[in-house]
Formats: sequence, C-alpha cells, structure tokens
Amino acid sequence: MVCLLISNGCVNYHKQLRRWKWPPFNLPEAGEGCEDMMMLVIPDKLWRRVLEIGGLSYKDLCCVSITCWRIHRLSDEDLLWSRILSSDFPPHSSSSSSSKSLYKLRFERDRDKRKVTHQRAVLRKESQIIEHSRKLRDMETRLAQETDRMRATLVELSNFHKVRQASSLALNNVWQREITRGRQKQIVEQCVVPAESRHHALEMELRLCKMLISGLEKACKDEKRRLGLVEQELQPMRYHPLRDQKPLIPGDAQCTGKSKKLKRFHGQGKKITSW
Amino acid sequence: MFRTMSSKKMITLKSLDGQTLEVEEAVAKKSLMIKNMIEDDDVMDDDVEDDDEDHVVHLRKVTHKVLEKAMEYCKRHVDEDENKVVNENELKAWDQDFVVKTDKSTLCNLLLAAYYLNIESLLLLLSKNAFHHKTSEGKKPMEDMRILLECQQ
Repeated sequence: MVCLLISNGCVNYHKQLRRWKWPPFNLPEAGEGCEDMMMLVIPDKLWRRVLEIGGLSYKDLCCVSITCWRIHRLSDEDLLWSRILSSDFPPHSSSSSSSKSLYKLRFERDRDKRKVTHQRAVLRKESQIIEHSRKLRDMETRLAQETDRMRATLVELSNFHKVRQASSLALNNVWQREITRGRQKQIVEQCVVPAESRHHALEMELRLCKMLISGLEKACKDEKRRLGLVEQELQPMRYHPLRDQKPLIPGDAQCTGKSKKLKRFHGQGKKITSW
Repeated sequence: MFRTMSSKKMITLKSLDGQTLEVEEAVAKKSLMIKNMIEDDDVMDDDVEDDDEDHVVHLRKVTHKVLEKAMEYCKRHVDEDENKVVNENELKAWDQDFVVKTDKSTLCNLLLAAYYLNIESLLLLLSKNAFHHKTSEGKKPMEDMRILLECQQ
C-alpha cells in the first residue's frame, strides 16, 4: 500500500509534469514506476521553503539546480540568491538584474582578484628563492677562495719552518771556517727580525683564514636553511589539486563537456562554470 | 469558561484514516496549526461548559503513521518550549538518528506533514537533511539529493 499524502494540487502536478520539456542534455528523468515521488508530491511552495531554510551555499545551489528542470527553475529565484549575495559579498546595491547573475559577477570578480593575488605571492616567493640562492653562491665562492688562501699559507708556513730548521742546523752542526761562520751569523742576525715577523705574519694569516672560513661556513648553513624554508613555503602555494593528480576515472583523459559536468556533480570541483 | 486544571491535558488527534492518537497538549501545541485550532476552539466554546477535557483535532491530510512520527519528534523536543535545560549534543544526535532511521517515503511525507502542521523545527531539520544527509556510507550531499528525488542518474 502506498502511503501518499493526498494534497490538493497533486493531480495537477501530474499534468504539469507531462508538459515539462525534458532538457536536451541528460538531466535525469524522474524514476518511472515509482509512485510516491517527492517531485510529484511536494508542492512548489514547500520546495521553495526547503531551499530557503536548507542552508545552501552557492555551490550547493548550483549543484541542486542541475538535478532536474523544476528544481532548476525554483533554485534560480532571486530570494535565494540575494540571501547568499548579501552574506558573501556584503556591499550590495540593489539593481535591476537578477540576484543570481549579480552573484555570478561578484563571484568571478572576486575569484580573479584572488588568482592575481596568489600569483603575485608566488612570484614574490620565487624571487626570494633566487635572492637566497645568489647569496649562497657568493658565499661559497668566497669560501673556496679563503680555503685556497689557507692552503697556500700552510704551504708557505711549512716551507718557512723547513728553511729555518735547515739554517739553524747549518749554523749549529756543520763545521765551517770561522770567517764564513761569522758572516753567516751576521746575516742570520740581520734576518732574525724579518724572519720572526714573517713567521708571525704567516701565522696571523692562517688564523684569519680559518676564522673567515668558519664564519662563511656558518653563514652558508644559515642561508641554506632560509632557502629551504622559503622553498617549503612555496610548495603548497604552487599545489593545484586538479592539475597535479593522475586521473582517477579512466575516462578522464578524454574529457568531453558532458563528462566535465558529471565530474563537477560528483566532486563539487573548484570551478563552477555552469550557472 | 470552566475547565478543571490538570497537569497533563491530553489531546486526541484524528488522522486521515480515522485512527486516533493521544498526546499531551504541550506536545501537540508544537504544531502551530494544532495550537491555533485548539485555541480557536477554546475561544469559540466560551459559553459552553466543557466537560470533555479531551479535544479532538481532525487532521484530514495526515496519515496515522506520519502523524506518529511527527508526534515522536515533538515529544522529544517539547522541553525546548518550556525552557527546561536541554542537552544540545544529545538532541542533535537524536535528531540525526531519527532521520537516518526513517525510510525515504516516510521522510517525504513527514516533510509535507511538517509543512502542513507548521512544525518549524522539524521542517528545518528535514530541509537541512535533504541536502546534507549523512548516510552510513558517507555519500556526498548531491548524491543524497538525487536519491531523495528518486531520480535516475
């Protein structure tokens, strides 16, 4: 037994339903053979009420409007759209055009603005990355220079030591004639101060090189860390769910207009292009 | 008008198929239509001594099964009007359960009944659920809308 609510206009709706022209594209038809259908039984006023208090967002309203012609007609109404228009895009001057088209306008304007802002932010981040990379390269060059200098200094220092050792040996161990020995002593004594200062200078150079190198290495590390941070920040900004994933539905590769609509219906995708 | 004061006054609701259902007055008055009918009756019967404490309200457009469901809802929510302490989360959970347990055709008829009887909160609950119904399989809202409309995809 069918528990049907016999409302006054029920019979009329049967007649009206036959008059509706079903859409050219495949909007679903009401299930045939099913007797207690919401479509037939619920009057327009109630549908309006349900749509009004159902707490629908703009996305939901669009999705709902593609279920069938009658709902499409009912969901297009100004009352519904002006409500979400005033809540989503507040400074709303009343105009003669329909609320839905106004909403669409504001929505698209807002979307474009956000897109531009996003692009600007991405570019800014990318330029930061370039800046960091450049600094890093400079530092690494300097590091290489200092390392070379250090190596050269070390070589000089070791040579210096060898020479000094050799000369002291020569002075102390090798037997020489007194005159030659005296003259050599003079030379060495004359050279003592410059030799010592030379040694000192070399050692200072070495110490300086080492200091610079350690400073540069630390700076490099910091810069690398900063670069890494910025790159990490950029990654989520660049991510786009629709572009970056492999198609889940096999037929996705050959996307026609029709399957695009179905996809939107299924996934409530980001872009609303059917209004 | 003479009326004995009883703490729980009962109202008899008579549905389309002739069956009756007894509910407390406060519960029945959640439906604004019933409330108005009772109050109009009271005003009209001003000069008649009313021995019969049970008002009988004829609801010619609601079937018994649907009426039962509607009154079940009203009974659960009657505390809200009397400003008693209500546990919000519990009520919400009960509401969800109430909707999930009801089959589609009854839900559809219940919606119509809520509209006809003017039970605001039930209407709100059902409307919201038409679009954001969470089935056990977790289907998306629009799938539920389609199912609800019994449309073929």
